[in-house]
Amino acid sequence: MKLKVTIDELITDRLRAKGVEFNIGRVIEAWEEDPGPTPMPGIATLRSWDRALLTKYHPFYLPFCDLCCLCTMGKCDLSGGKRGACGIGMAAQQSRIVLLAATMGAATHAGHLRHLLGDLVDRFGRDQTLDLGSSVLLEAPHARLVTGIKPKTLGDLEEIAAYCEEEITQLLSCCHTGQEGDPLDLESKVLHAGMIDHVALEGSDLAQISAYSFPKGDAEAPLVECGPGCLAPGKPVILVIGHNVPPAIAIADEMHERGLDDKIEVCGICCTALDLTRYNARAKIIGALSQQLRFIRSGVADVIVVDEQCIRNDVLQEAMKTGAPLIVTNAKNLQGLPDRTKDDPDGIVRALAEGKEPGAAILDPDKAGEVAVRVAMEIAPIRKATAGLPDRAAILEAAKACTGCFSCMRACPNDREITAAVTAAAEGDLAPLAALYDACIGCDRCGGACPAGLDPHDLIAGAYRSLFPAERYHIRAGRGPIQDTEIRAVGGPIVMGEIPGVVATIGCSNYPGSWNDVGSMAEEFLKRRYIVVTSGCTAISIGMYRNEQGEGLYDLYPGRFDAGGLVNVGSCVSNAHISGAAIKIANIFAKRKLNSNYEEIADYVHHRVGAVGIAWGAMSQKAAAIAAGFWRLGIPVIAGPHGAKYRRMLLGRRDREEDWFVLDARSGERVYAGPVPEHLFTVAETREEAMVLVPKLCMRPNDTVKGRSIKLNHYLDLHRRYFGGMPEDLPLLVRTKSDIPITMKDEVVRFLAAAGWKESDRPIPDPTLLPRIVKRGGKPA
Amino acid sequence: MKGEAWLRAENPATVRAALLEKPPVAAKLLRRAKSPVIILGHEASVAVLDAVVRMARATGAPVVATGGISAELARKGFTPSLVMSAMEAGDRLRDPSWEPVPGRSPPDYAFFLGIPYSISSVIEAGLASFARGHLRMVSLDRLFHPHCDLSLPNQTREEWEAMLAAIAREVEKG
Repeated sequence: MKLKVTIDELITDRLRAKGVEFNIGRVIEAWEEDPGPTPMPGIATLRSWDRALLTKYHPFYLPFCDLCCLCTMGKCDLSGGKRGACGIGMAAQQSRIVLLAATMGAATHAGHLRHLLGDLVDRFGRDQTLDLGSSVLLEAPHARLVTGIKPKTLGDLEEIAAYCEEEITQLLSCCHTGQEGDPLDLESKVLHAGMIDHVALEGSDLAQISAYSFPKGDAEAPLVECGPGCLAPGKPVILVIGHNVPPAIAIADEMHERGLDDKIEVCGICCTALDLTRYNARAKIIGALSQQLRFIRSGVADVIVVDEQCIRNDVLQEAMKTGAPLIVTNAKNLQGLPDRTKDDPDGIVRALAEGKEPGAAILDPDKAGEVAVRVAMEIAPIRKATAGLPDRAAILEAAKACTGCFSCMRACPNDREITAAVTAAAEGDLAPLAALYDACIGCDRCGGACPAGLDPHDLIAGAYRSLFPAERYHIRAGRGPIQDTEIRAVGGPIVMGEIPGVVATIGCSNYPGSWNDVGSMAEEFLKRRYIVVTSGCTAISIGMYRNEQGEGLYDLYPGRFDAGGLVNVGSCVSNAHISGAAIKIANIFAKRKLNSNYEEIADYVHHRVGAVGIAWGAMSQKAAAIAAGFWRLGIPVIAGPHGAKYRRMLLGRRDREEDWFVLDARSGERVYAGPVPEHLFTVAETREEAMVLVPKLCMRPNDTVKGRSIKLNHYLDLHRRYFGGMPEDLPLLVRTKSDIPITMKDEVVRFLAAAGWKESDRPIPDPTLLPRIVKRGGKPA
Repeated sequence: MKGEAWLRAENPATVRAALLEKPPVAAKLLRRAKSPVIILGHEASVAVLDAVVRMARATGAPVVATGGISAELARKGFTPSLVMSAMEAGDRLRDPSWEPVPGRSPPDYAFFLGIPYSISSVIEAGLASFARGHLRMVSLDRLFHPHCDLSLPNQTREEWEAMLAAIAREVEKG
């Protein structure tokens, strides 16, 4: 809201004026809740909360590189306890790199928010109402919690974006030489970056859902097609890649206006694809990030349109190899192409369709949409013969050049048996190469490493290509937020532990094994009646998984936020709805105040909401920021093996009793609550290890006996299946005999007796880490 | 390539593990350590498990089983001292007072094998900085691990299994 005040005549003791006019740029309206203690927190405002978490979850630093190369006094070798020229030690250096990553991630999301808002305000106006439908009245839990703003319009989101930008600038400055040097203070700032990140994520999705009428918490959002086999042959193909959807939507609109809905295939990779299907269910998703290079090299796309984030840096070179013009639509990723934004579309179309220019930067989404569609129609008939993945004969011939030097394997992040597969191909057997397809993350480091000039990446994709037509799957379009009514229905069962947990399988596609890993994990917990929530590339990979009966999970499981529901919230920015659901439980179900009340809400979530994230293929700095946003709310995250390269874990020590005390808010007494959840960030070596960790990390101090019993039942069952026998930490997790799962009672009782377990005589606490939460009458110890 | 990091981009910093190529030397390290601990990951084959069980039985070294390998050990009739993730094991090892087996001395030597390279290499890098002074690290893995104090060279699976069997034999000789 803008405010203009005109005063005809103003008379004070010292001033007499006529025609005074005040213009106030923006006024943020107050809302019904009084502000809590921390509106728009700065980088140190929530330090004490962070310290409370970090007292339980100790950083374990994992130097991915022992050197610091950030300033010209370096390189500095920090190994073995040495300090750098600036005085920094290894621990602080590692946490500084984590902060840098999380800040980059938050900046990327905040930059996306700002860019998206720019486009949407231009198109719809600043006063465009934010509307998530009648079932989502608590529209912006993060913004309300952190900033105290209850946004009503796109313009209100600009205020929120400005706050995020200020914090990100301060956080980035902390990474400078000679700034913050304490590892725990750096960790606190990492958590701050994560919190800011979720505010920015939420703003972006709120804006695009409202402006483009994406599904508004719709559990029945449509099933859309996914996989390279879903493209109809013979049609021109436009491929969109990235995260900022307006240009892709402009393509869909242009197709529609020209009557070309059935004449062109518009498809995508990564989050732009996910968001496009939220707008237009006819659009198709080719796959996750790991499919990017192989699909471009397949030569199927006639035009490639990119926006921002997770786009291969060599996309122009790769597009040129296939003769597909590249249109870049975002100033953050111009690829060296000329800016044709203000040029006549006819001229751009001619230049691209006739191959005079390899691509163009068009920063106006509508114009980019028009050019993409027109070029696709013109170029498709004449481009068809170019490029593509090698066929069987070409693979057999190429493989003969392999010298068996293992350079490809020594470049492969997953150490796949590439050399043996290429050797087998040279002898006429393509099956080993094709078998690597699912496990290949599409990085093509093998191709760059081969001294014989082979490209194993292409040989793998080529050996598999005859199976592409069968790669047809379903994915439920991103539904956006969780409805308030759903929160009311499941808040109690989650907090009491009767729904054993919320498992958020999220993140990128840098998987250590097949993409089927995430599908099989999701299926396991769906069968166990957990709520499985997903987003981004992982949501796509889950769609590409088929169970033993050949069925897809989105076909089998409902999209509602309830036990046994498979909830695809949408793209990366939709992750805010997952953390937002936890916040909503605290507010809607538990009636905790939301407005600027971060510590209390996080304290509630940490102790009561049994949620855990699995980021099995987390790769990017954005993923680091998203994870950090969960950590600050006290929600644990498990990463896949490559997640160890994020350089720091946050691990609990169950063997240190002193780490696991809380205040009982009823009495103020300091009481032992057990090692739950045990870690805030860890990696699992195998998917089986991750599956055993999940039920354990869903345990909370506030579990009722029934809830703890259910959670223990899943933990013991999975532990027996994948690890064999009873877990040695069982005595720490069973509080009273009533916690013991009835179906395993005799065995557990015997085990506990042998371990010298003693039943607790204390009631389940009302746990908190905040002395101010202790109720009147009780005094904190 | 024997004593180079398997992943070419891996940065071994300014210190690199000494190459451990002779089974008797590896066996001597296991036998002479005051309080050795073996951290065993899921990439161990059946033959590797056989060798590790023999080493553990001969020396009394506790085995920490990670990544679900405990189920395979159980099938061999061997119960590991602890079942935990590799990351937890690494975290405990940096604590000079941690006792994998209550009442026994904290480890002075940690022997790593079978853990995915992406995890074990950074755990070892972390311990090289944060457990120095109380812990020496030996990699018995198939691949060379530069951040350890000593490491087996890069080998094929067959060579690795033969090497571990040879080390087990030497350890059993006493």
